[in-house]
Amino acid sequence: MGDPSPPSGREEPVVIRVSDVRKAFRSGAEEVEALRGVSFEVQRGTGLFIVGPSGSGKSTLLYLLGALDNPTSGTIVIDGANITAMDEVQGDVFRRGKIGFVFQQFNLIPNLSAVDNVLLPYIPTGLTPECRAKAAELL
Amino acid sequence: MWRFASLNLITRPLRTLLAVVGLTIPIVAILGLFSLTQGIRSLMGNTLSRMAGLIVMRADAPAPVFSELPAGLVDEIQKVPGVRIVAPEVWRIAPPIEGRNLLARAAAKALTSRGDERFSSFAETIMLEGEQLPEHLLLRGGAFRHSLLPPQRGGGRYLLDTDVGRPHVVISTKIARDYPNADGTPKKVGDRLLIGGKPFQIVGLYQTGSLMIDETIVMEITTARELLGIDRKQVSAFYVEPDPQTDIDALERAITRAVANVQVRSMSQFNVQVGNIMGHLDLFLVLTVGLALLVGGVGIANTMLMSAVERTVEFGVMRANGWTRRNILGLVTAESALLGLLSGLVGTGLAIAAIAALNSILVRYELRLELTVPLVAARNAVAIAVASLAGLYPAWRASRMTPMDAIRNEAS
Repeated sequence: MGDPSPPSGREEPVVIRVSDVRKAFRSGAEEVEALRGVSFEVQRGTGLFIVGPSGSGKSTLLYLLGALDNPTSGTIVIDGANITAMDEVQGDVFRRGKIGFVFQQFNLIPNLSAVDNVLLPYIPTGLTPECRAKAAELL
Repeated sequence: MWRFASLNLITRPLRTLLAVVGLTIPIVAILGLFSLTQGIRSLMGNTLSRMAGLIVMRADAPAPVFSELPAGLVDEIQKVPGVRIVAPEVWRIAPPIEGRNLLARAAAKALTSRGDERFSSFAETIMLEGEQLPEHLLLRGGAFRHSLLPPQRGGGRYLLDTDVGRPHVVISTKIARDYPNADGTPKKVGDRLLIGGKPFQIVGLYQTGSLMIDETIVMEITTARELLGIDRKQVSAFYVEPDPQTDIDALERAITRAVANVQVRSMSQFNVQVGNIMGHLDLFLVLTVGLALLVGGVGIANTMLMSAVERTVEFGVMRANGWTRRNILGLVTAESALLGLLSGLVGTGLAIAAIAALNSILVRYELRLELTVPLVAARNAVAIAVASLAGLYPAWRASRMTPMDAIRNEAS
């Protein structure tokens, strides 16, 4: 595993690089392989759809790309940072800064306003007026 | 974070209210009970600190009013090294005052009254003390003499040598209020007070502020003996004032050795005993209230645990959005601490109101519940600490949620 920190300086054209990623789950005595050596790249500024039948490993791959889970082997580099080499807190901080989730049911926090829901990742670090203005603008 | 924690409590008002009530009850109990012991402690302390000497009375008598000793013992006690003054005195429960039989009245009231009226009947039992002059006038202590009201407030004077054999009394302002003139005004210096059917002239008014002392009528000893039918060779007790450098405990032992069939009680001994009793009472209160706090804490823990279970998806979403386990732990603990703070504030408010109401009733007994700032501050700190501790386990449970929990719960 390499250095998890992103390189400083200019942005690379490849924003996501997945290399030979494998993910296996143990079900009793049996080991089930959800992903078998997945590799691909996503260029900066492009969109990607992952399509496949139920049980083909789409969700598992998304969890790994979202730094929510770790692969059994292989590496995932996002915006220059090797997320497969990160510990839990590094993963949390990475998600806060780089990853956004849209759940099927939205899962908004009911006690918070729309702006505060947008700002949810930054509540623990403190919200500045600039943050609020940016969130309001995005909405 | 704190704003978010507050919102989480505000948006679940019923649950918050129930948790706060659970912790508020022990807080009110603690503040109320400790302010009561504080009040009793200062009352006893004020009373006993006025009497720095020793009381010599019959060996088996529980109190001076039940004690009888030969007056001649004064010479034996005076010979004990370290004794400065021996002041003979007689003590009895007062005969009917203004035609009112105190004991009969107290018993009748106790049988027919309710609540504080029943209590008041016994608190109003008046004692009568006859002081031998000039010995009592030479005492440096002397609770009544030093508590005489100033002349401008109608305090009059204390007993003098010229009062020997004369029907003159010094009474407390409380007795003056409790046995008013026919027009309802309190007795004042110069007025007459009927004691055992005989008229006495009030020459002085005192006010010690102590429940124990302010129920005493003071007169000269020969006048008291004549009124109460006590032989002139008899006293109830001797008040002994030690020389300034004398060790009071050593003097107490010396008198007990030198004089047969007497017991010697020092006021410091009473003070220590009272201190011990209050200490035990405090310990008992701490244990009792500790249990109540535990129950309140369990209530908070239950509330927060339910909240954590209900908010599984919410915590998962937060974790997915970059909240660390420590952030979640901090949020839930902050919510618990806010519940504790809220309970503390509500409890303090209720306790202040309850104590003010009680004090307005207890003022007639010269007893005052004391709610001190350190007590309130300490209690609120305990409330916050208990609530925070109670919230730790639910907070830990919540922090164990993984981002995957949100997605799985969403799917289910």
